[in-house]
Amino acid sequence: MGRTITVAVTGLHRGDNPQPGAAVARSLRRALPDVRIVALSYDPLESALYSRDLDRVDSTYLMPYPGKGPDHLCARIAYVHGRERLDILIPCLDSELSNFIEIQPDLERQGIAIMLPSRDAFERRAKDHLSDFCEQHGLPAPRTLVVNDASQLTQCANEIGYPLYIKGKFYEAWLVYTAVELFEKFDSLVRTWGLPVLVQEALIGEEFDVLGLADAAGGIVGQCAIRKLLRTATGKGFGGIVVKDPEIDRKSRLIIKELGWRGPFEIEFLKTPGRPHVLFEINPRFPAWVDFPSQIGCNLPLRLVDMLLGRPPTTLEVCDAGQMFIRHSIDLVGDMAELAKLSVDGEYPDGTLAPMAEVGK
Amino acid sequence: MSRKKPGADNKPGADTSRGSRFRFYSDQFMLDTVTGQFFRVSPPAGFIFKNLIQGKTGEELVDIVEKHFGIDRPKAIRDVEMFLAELRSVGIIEN
Repeated sequence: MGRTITVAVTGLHRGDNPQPGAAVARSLRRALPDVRIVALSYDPLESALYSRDLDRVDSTYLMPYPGKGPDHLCARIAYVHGRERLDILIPCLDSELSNFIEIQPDLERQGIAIMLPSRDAFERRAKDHLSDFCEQHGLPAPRTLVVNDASQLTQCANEIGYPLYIKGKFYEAWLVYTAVELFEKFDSLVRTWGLPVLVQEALIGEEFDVLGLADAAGGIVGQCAIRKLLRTATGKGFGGIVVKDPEIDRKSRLIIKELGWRGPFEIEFLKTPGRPHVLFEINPRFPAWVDFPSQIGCNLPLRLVDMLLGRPPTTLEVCDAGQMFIRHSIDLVGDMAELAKLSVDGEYPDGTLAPMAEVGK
Repeated sequence: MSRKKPGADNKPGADTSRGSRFRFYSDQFMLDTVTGQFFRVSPPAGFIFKNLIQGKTGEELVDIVEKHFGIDRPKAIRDVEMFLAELRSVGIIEN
């Protein structure tokens, strides 16, 4: 048996807007029971910190918010690495990727393996540049305008027409029907995510998502395509069914190749009746549903670990159309004592935050 | 570690021709593997659709329906035409 692999993961909250980190942990621990999962957490209330299941963490470190910049991130990871001897780091949040790309050489010098897209690829797929990318490569895209100032809002909205989507730089999208709603959401998005904000044509249709992993040459190592079966009010997929659509596969391969993408990705398409698939977003990380394909033989986080450690590649099975997932929410037990310790110390190296007394009752 | 699929009548092929695109689960539940849409269908509709995806023409479908359900030919023609029109209207078939 080889030595224990230590993997640092971010994005561990599984609330109404679930983050991918816990799903990555589940995928890894299912295949590697001895793996050590180190949580890099932005909030002591991230739900997976309280799990005792496959997605449990072995230690937790609070991290500086992405807005603090790459230097603070680098210093904090150096500290964590000193305590934990990290082998691999898998960032799972859009908002932190820019900083991680910046510090990738430092991480690799410390011996922490990480797989990220190039800065160029990361920027080209960003929401405010996606229209240009689509135009260059003949991919249908929703009409999108970039707003850098509130004074541009009315004109942009008039050009697009109501209803329309107003979207934050990293997260959040709101369907708005009036100028009043538009300005309200604009203020809210700017406060949370900063500028720019996007105003986008509202297309109503079925959403198809492709989750995948690309190698260093821009080829797709493995992928799973789904139609979202259940969507929350904010469009989050709480259920999905595998589809086998050659057009989606072709477009996904084209996108990844043209970007020269490296690492995990999620591509979102929208299909309205009588129109081709429209490219909606390209997310630079595994999505929150990554543990679904892992459970049907296509464990992409595990394959990523193989690639980063130079291990023999895990076989990835083709996800068969008709296999489906339904997201299931459960209640985890916590105790204020653990939350307080993590909040005060900034770290909790003693495993899950769930108190032992509750286990097995 | 792939899960065994329960009750699927036909395995997916590499192509997405009509026959491999649609998958039946019993006679009354059908999946379009390209769009991920699924449908509960009546037994007669399932019977006609299964023949359709096997490559039967409209004329052949009328023959089969007439014989299988023991109905007169004008009614068989009408039923088949109405069913095909419904499939077209929901985008399951194009022609």
